[in-house]
Order: sequence, then structure tokens, then C-alpha cells
Amino acid sequence: MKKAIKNQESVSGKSKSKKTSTPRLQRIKSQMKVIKRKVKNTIKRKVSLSYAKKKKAEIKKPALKEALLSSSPQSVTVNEEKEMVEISKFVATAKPDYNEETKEFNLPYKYYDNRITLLARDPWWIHTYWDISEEKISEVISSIPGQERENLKWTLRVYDVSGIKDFQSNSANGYFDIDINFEVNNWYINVNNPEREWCVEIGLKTLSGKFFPVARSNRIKTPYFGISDVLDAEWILPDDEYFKVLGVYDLGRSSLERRKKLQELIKYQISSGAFSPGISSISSAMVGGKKPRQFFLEVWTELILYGRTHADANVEVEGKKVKLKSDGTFSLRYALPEGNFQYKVVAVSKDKKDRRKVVPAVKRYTKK
Amino acid sequence: MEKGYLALILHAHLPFVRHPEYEEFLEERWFFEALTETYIPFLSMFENLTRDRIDFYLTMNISPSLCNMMSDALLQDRYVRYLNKMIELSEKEIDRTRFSPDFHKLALMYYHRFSMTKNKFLNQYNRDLIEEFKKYQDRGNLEIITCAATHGFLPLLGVNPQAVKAQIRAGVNSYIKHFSDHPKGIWLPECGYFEGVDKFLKENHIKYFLLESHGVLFARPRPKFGVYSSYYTKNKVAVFGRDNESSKSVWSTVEGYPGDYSYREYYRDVGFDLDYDYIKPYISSCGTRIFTGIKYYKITGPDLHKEPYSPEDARKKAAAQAGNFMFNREKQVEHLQGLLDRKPIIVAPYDAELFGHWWFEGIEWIEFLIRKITFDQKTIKLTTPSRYLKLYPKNQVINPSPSSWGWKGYYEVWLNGSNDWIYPHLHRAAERMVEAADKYKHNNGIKRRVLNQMARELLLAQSSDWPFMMKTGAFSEYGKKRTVTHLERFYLLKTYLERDFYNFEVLEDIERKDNIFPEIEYSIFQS
Repeated sequence: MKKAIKNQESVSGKSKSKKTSTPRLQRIKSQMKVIKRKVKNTIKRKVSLSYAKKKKAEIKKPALKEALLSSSPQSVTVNEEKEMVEISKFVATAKPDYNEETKEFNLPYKYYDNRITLLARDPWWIHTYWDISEEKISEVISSIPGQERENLKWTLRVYDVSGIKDFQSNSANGYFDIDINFEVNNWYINVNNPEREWCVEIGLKTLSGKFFPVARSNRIKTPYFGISDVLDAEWILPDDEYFKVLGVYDLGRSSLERRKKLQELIKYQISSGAFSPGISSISSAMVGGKKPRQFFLEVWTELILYGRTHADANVEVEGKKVKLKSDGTFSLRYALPEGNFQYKVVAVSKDKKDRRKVVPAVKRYTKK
Repeated sequence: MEKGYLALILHAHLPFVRHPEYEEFLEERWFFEALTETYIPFLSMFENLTRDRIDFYLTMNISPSLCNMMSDALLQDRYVRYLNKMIELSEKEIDRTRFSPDFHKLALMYYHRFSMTKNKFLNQYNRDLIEEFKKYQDRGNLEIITCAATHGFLPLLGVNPQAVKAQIRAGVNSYIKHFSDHPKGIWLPECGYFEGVDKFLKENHIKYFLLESHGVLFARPRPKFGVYSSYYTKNKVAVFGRDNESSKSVWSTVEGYPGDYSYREYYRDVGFDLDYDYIKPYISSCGTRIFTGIKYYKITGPDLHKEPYSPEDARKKAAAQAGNFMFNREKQVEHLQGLLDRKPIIVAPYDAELFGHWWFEGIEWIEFLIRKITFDQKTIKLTTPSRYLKLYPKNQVINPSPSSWGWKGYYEVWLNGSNDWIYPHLHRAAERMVEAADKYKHNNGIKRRVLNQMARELLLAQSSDWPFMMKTGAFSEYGKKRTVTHLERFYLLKTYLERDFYNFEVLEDIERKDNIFPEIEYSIFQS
């Protein structure tokens, strides 16, 4: 509760300042904009698809829901589908940030290497990003019979390829399709299935449901979840004792019941972050910023004691020698807490013949 | 005879932050603060224990990027400059607090700490901290392990096996350079594991690595001893899982030790509290208030009202909590030992910087813990993973679960809407690097120089610290800037190579700025 390992304020002093918009950068930026616009337009012309604005509305259409449900081999539940919609909203709104970033710096905006890549995020979600050239798109479109080229839809086809060595599109264990916004370049997919292997294709789907793949991804496996039922004959500990090792008790009577409860417990712990409480190597070294807002008023006082004498005199304040400036002046700064204070200032001339003493006194209190 | 073991693992890492192009650079202070509050105090602790003839066993990862900063002359100079400033400020504080005894005492403490640190750094260690840590490895007390070169999050780089291989290889080579020995173990950055990493570890003769609890618990087949033993992967690299219970008592922000009301309050710092004109020379050069490290208050309670800090009270608390921690481990070991047919090992990994920097009393706590374990009981003994493996060389073979020790236990911290845009760039750049390394084999002279620098830039861009910063929002601009800058430099160098036309001035400038891994060989990227 105390020290939340978080910090709101970035205090990176210099990091922002140096490389702002030089004329060269600005030129590149505007070129980049033009290029992007061109790309957008050409794609739009060639693939009469509807983009950005229409997307959200489309996803919510019942027709799509049905399509999703029927095309999914694993009977996607309404809940999951809702999640998909939610995540797609998220993707669409979160994405422009990326464009802003790359625009500002001199990195390629796109690579046009006709690739789609798949990454695992956790046992239930995978992430994919793609980068497709206009040439490739036209090539695929030209393979689509002319009368079916209207209303093509960009689609991700997600294949379950678990255990299939030489994967061909028709050899998958199953697949489901997701309607996507091509331009966002990436998507989070809820496969909701740990320890399975996945492959995705990005492609165009005709109104009649025919799918024309444009690129196929690498294969990945979702991470495992849950304690394995597979036992190793040489290394067995009976269930009862095993649960004790894990430090879990009172799970229930039957072993099936216990397993189920244990699984739920672990899932809760992991997804709530209780298992790995946001530990991350950098956090302890870089904690900074301030605690969340809470209104406050703090008042402190200090006392400045200053004066002058002969430059070569010896000056003490309450018995402690004070360093004089070359012109014989001095200035001292003291924290002034509540209470009565006096500051005996004594100056003695260099030849020790003259001595002066001044004792300012202060009472510091807070009015009730 | 002991009934089980405790392996304390410290993970010391900072991203490579070094900006010779600026007179002063704020983010370099992470390193200076960690030196003053964590790394040097740990050395002092080792010194105390050795002086008192206490045999201790600790495991510590000093990440390759941290090693490179520790051995960098510019950062060493800047550290001395930083210490001088802090000494100057604490001197002023001694005067300023002269009539406030509670704070005066603390001002003296800080003055003493900073001056002692400077004296040790310059005169006792001759600026060479690595040599100092190595000393305790040579004595057998400290087992220093390595990490991936720039702390790249391997599961998300795994699309290019070469990239993972190079991160590990460069990390191992850097270790050999600094510690003139082969690393026995590796700390996978963020405990990030994916199927197949062990193969690369095997190729580099690494004996063991560490995982988050469920990395082991969710392994296939079911691991017989839970997280309380070593296991082998199918490539015969040993793996250990983190114990959740012992972690929680230190990490947890709710029930953890560091939240004790007697402990020093991190968020109350003179950098924010004192009059602006007075503190201005000691905060960021652009005038933003920052933490200086001089803190006068204790946590006190949940409210904003804070009381002055008392080191004596805090020390007593640290001792009591060390006793409590030990007691709980004894109970844990007794419980486990009855169930398992081998002596259990409790693996407790922590960020090194948690101690001293974040939890001011943390280093005293560890020292108390080590002393108590040595003198006050017989149930547990300290150990290191490789000592445990000597005891139990025969282990069950498991297939660990892909996992990490980050929030939610998998890869989401480094792959989400705030940072996923980096991967298309990182993956492409890795491919370009492998292509270039294959194309220009056995090159010498200028090509080799350019290729080596490309390798450095790519490794720096891959650091997991940048997406982490983007995710947490703290320093996210800096994280973005670093990712992009290194990739830009990478591509610039690549065009030199392709055109066989070189701007030496620019090349030298880049080499001067990103001088990490002087020993690098671009051939680590060859396929």
C-alpha cells in the first residue's frame, strides 16, 4: 500500500530537448505523410474496401457475429466474441500512437515485405502484425474471379495446427476467422487455449465466404497453464502429498474436485497479478516521481542570519566558526523548527584586541 | 545436520545509459544512485562478513550492461563528480540543520555515507567494482552469473533464433571478459522463458537458469518436488523455480517487510521538500525537482504526516524481520522435508536494487539474515544453485512452461498497446543483421568495424527496459527515444556497408557514444 512501485512523472530532463524538428526532419516527416497518403489511396482504389470509420460499426453487426460463431471450430462463446470486439476497438484506438512515433523519427514506416508474424502473449492471447505491399495485394486480387471482387473483406484466419508437422491450409485441426481493419497492422487474438500451436493467414474474403490468403505467419505455441496431469513414472509424488508441497489445503474431497479448485485458484492468482506482483527488474532501480494526488499543505520556516565585519576577523555563531566572504560579509541559513532559539554571534579582530557580540533571539510557533 | 537450503539470488541490472554528448544526463543518476545505495553497500556487507569469518553463499547476477557501465571511465569520472556534489549538499545540510537535532543527526549520517563511499570508490576499490565483486567469487562466497547481453526479453525476440543466440553469446562473452571465467548460470531477463531457449544455453555451456514459480510448476510432466528442487530440461540444463512465499514477504507492497513504519520513507526527499533556490544546484540541470537521495523521514503511517527517521529504530526492525524471515524458512523446510525424499531448496530471487535503494534498510536486513542463519539455527543453510546441483546431480527431466516474472506471469508487460510497435522493427533489424553477418564473413578493417557497431546498436535496441518504460509510463519518452535511436544508427551503418562508402566522423561518433561490449564480434549473428 505504501510505496507503490509506480511513478507518474517522467523527469527525463534532457532526453526530449535535443532532437526537435530540424528542417531536414520536418521534410522527412511531411514526405512520410505524403507517402502514407499515397499508399492509403492506392490500396483503397485497388481493393474496394471500407476502412477505419466503418470498421467499428461493422464488427458489431449481427451478421458478423454469426459468421464468427459459425466459422469457429471451437464454438466461440458470446463472451469471447465480446472480448474480440473489445480488443479490436482497443487496437483501433491505440494504434495511431505508433504512426506518430515513427513519423517523428527516421525509421521506415513500413517494410512492404509481405509478411505476417505471430507472437504469443500468454496462454489465452496471441498477437500478430503484418506488412503487405500493394503489389502483393493486386496479385492476390487478380487471382480472384472478377465477379467476386466486390466487397472483399480483410480477414485473419487463425489455424489450430497443434501436432501437425507439415501444415497445409486444409490439414489444420480447425480454424476461425476474424474480420480486421487492414491498416492497423496488428491484432490481438483471443484463442483462449493454452499449449496449442497456432498459425495465421491474412487474406481477403469474398462475400460468398471464399478466402484468398495473402501471407502466412510463423507457427507459435501458447504458453502452458495449470499443473500437468502427466506424471513421470520415475518421479511420482501422490496427489495428497503433492498438494501439501504446493502449500494448498482444504480444496475438497475428491481428487477431481481438488484439481479443479486448484486450477481456478492459480488462474485467479495469475490473472490478478498476485502470482507475479509486477516484479520487473528495472522497477526497483528507477522508482521516481511522486505518490498519487492527495491534497496537502506543508509549511516550513528557515532563518537567514547574515552580517558583516572586517574581512580578516574571526566570527563564530553559537561556538562554531563561520567562513567569511572576501568582503567580510557572511550569510547563514538554518532550519527553524518550533521553539525558542538564540544565535550568539561573536566577532574578534585579527589581532584579538577587538571583540563584538550580538545575540539575536527568535521564538517560532504556530498559531492555534 | 541441515534439513534444507535457502538460495538468495540477487539480480543487479540497469540499462546501458551513458551520454557523453551531454555534460550532464539525468538518467545516468540511476546508475550513480544504485552504486551508492546498493552495489557499494553490498560490497561493504561482504567485507564485514568476511572480516567476521562468516561463511556465506549468495548468487548474484551482474548484468553485462551493468558490467559495461561499471568499467566505463567516463561514468566513473561522472560518478565522482556526482559524489562531490552530494558531499557538498550534505555539508550544507549539516549547517542548515544545526538547530534541529533530529535532522542534524541524519545530515551527518548522509555526509558520512557519501564521503565514505567516495573514499572507498577511489582509494579502496580504485574505481574497479567488478574486480571487487570477483574477489568474493574467488573466495567461494559469491556465485556471479550472467544475463543476456542487454537484457533483451528473449521470448519476444525468438522469432529470430539468431537474435536470441547472439544475446546469450554476447552476455557470456562479456562475462568471460570481466570475470575471466565461464558463467555457471544465467539469469534470463525478466525470467522470460520460451521453449527452446535451453538449447542456446547448452551451446554456451551454461549449467542452470532460474524461472518464475509457474515456469516450473506448470512444467510437463508434473515436477515431483514443486519448486523446491532442481530439474533438467531435455537439453540437460538445470532449472530452478522461484519460491512464492519467501518472495512475497519482501516484494509485497502490502504485507512485505519494506513497508514497516520505522523504515525510511522513499518519497520524502530534500529534492522536493527544500526551498527551490537552495536546492537548485543539486537537482536536474533543467531545474526539475528530483530525488537527491537525502531523505529525513520515516514511513510513520498511512497518512501524509511523517516523523523524523531514526536509523537505530529501523535497524532493530530489520534485525527482527530477518529473524522472522529465517523462522518462516525453517518452518517451510521442516514441512517440506517430511514430504520430499530430498532436502528442499528455497530459491528467493530479488532485484538487487530493491535493497538499499528502494528499501533503505534492505542490505542490513540481508546481513542480519546471513548472520542469524549462521549462528542461530541448524535447520537451513545458505547455498547456491550450483552447490545444490553437486548435492543432487540426478534430477527429473521437465519441459518448463513459457513464462516470465512480470505482471500476470507471461509476456504482456513487454507486448501490449503501448510497446508492440517496436517488434516489427526489432525483428526486421535482427534479420538484416544476420544477413549482413553472413554476407560479410571474415571481414577485417572498416567493414568489420561497421558490422561490430551494427551488432552493438541492435543489441542496445533490444533491451527489455525500453518497452518496460513505455508500459509503465515512467520515462516512456526516454524508452521510445532509445529504441528508435539505436535502430536509426543501425540502419545508417548498414547503408555505409552497402554503399561501401563511410563517413568516418559519424562512425567514430556512434562508436564513442555506444561503446558497450568493446570485445564484440559480429560473427555471433552468423546463421
